Amino acid sequence: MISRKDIVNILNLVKIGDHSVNDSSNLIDDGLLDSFSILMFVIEIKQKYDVTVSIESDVHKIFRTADSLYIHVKNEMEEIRNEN
Amino acid sequence: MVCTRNYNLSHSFGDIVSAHGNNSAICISDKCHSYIEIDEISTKIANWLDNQGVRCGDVIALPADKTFLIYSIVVSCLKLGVTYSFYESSFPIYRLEKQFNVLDPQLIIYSKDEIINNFREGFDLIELSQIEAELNRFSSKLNFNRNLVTDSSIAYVMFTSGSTGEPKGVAISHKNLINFIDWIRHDLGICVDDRITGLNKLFFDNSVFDIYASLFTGACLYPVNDNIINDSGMLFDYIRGNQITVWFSVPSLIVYHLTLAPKQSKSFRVLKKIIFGGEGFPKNSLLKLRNITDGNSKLLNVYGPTECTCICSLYEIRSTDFDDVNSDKIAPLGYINNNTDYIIVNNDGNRCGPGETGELYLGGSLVGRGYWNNIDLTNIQFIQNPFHSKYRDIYYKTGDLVCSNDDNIIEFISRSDYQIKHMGYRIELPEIENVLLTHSEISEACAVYKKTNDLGVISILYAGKIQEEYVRSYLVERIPSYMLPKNIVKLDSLPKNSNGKIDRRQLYEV
Repeated sequence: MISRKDIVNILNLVKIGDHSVNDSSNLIDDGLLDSFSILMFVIEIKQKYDVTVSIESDVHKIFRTADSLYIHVKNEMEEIRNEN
Repeated sequence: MVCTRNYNLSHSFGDIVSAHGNNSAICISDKCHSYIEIDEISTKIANWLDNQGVRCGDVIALPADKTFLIYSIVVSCLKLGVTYSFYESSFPIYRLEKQFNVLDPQLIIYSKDEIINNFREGFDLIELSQIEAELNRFSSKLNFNRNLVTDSSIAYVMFTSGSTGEPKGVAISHKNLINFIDWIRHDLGICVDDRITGLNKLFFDNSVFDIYASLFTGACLYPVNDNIINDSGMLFDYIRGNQITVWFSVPSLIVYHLTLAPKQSKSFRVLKKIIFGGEGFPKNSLLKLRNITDGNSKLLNVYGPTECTCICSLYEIRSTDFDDVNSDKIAPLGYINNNTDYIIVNNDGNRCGPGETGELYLGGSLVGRGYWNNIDLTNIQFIQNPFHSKYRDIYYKTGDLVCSNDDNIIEFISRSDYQIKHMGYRIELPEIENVLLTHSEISEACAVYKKTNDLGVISILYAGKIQEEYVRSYLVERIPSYMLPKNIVKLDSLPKNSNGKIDRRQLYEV
């Protein structure tokens, strides 16, 4: 199962700018992520965990912090597991 | 001989206002503005600019804000014969300074204080809100003779990455744009009923299509801001709610929505035309888009360098393009426009035959006037047709290696230099290297671009005394965020080839 730390590690891999991502970072508003980084994040998750995370709407809400993103990814993974 | 009037973009816009004045020209944030409205406001702004001493042939810098006032200033510049050039306020000061030094504008209009405080010395500055506040003092009737503007007047200067570390400003004339608009109407079939997305950032070449395909054809422009663009739910609500008919963006944006939001992306099928250009479209994602649209939308791949007025070729995606979906090949560039001439030249300087790879040279009515304030570079890139010297016949050397088949369909093969397209943005990798080499503690630097899973990543390899995190900070202060590398690797020294030059091929493996 993916952990909060895993999410932060992936975010640090795909982020732009020179600040590190921490639990309180505001990912989009602080300029840590752009659309390219978001796309890279989803692809990294797919590659590392073989899970397709979809973000149909509320990108700003989901990518507000590492924590909100972690909750979304965890929910998505659970949903996929239940479907299977 | 009777001299007919000199037809410029002011006349072209006037014709649209006469024919479709009450139609919506721009809709922003649920508010639509008619052609008559933008005509009146832009004339007031032109009179205001004239009152400020800005004259035909002068140049002004504009913030790349997608607001009604900014689009109106663009039209006012065209009426007055003033050249406009967009700048992005969020770019580092270092980069903006270089851009303004090349542009040498008579006036910089700004909307964000914190940025422009750095340019108080040496430039005349005016805040956007000041123009807005003063507008009602000015007449909505032209106080000057628009026939003074010639069709060779420069309409805009578009900045793009330069390999020396200095951004290049490409100068495009009224005549170039009049021919471009003609192609948009006749070949692309854009008409007054169309509602066109304004997805592209105004400092990016693709926005030229957004502005001129809408405001100069009688169609309506729907500028979209970043908070909507990156949110599939909001974006497709916007597309459906406003009954948008034409989409134009880089493939990366389409791939972004297809990847993140498979359900929302089904709404791509409500569009009549999905036009994409600025980079290659990965075949797997293109197939996904085709399956979603399922013949409801035309999928059109366009190509063109900034130097040749945005778009020079068109290709409508066909089902046979997916015969080999696993191939690395991207969609063909397609057929070169009727208003554009081309030659494909091989390494020996001869014309290429079908199937033979060579550099694409573009000529004809879309070829721009060269690089602003840089005659030397203009003379290198904009050259006389190498196959005759009977008359002046200027071609732009694109640096794109292509080949054509028996049906004159052009296919992109690779670049002849180190220019890349990243998320549609054109980047000269040596520009990043040259910025790094301005640091006294960096002795060697090389930027490489590698694609995995259809996503390209810029990496920097360098030799020097400073650590990676300082290299990143140094770049953040000097280059736009879309040029920033994902990986920075410090080496003792960079590998060299037998000529003593940095061995890029070996670095790709590092």
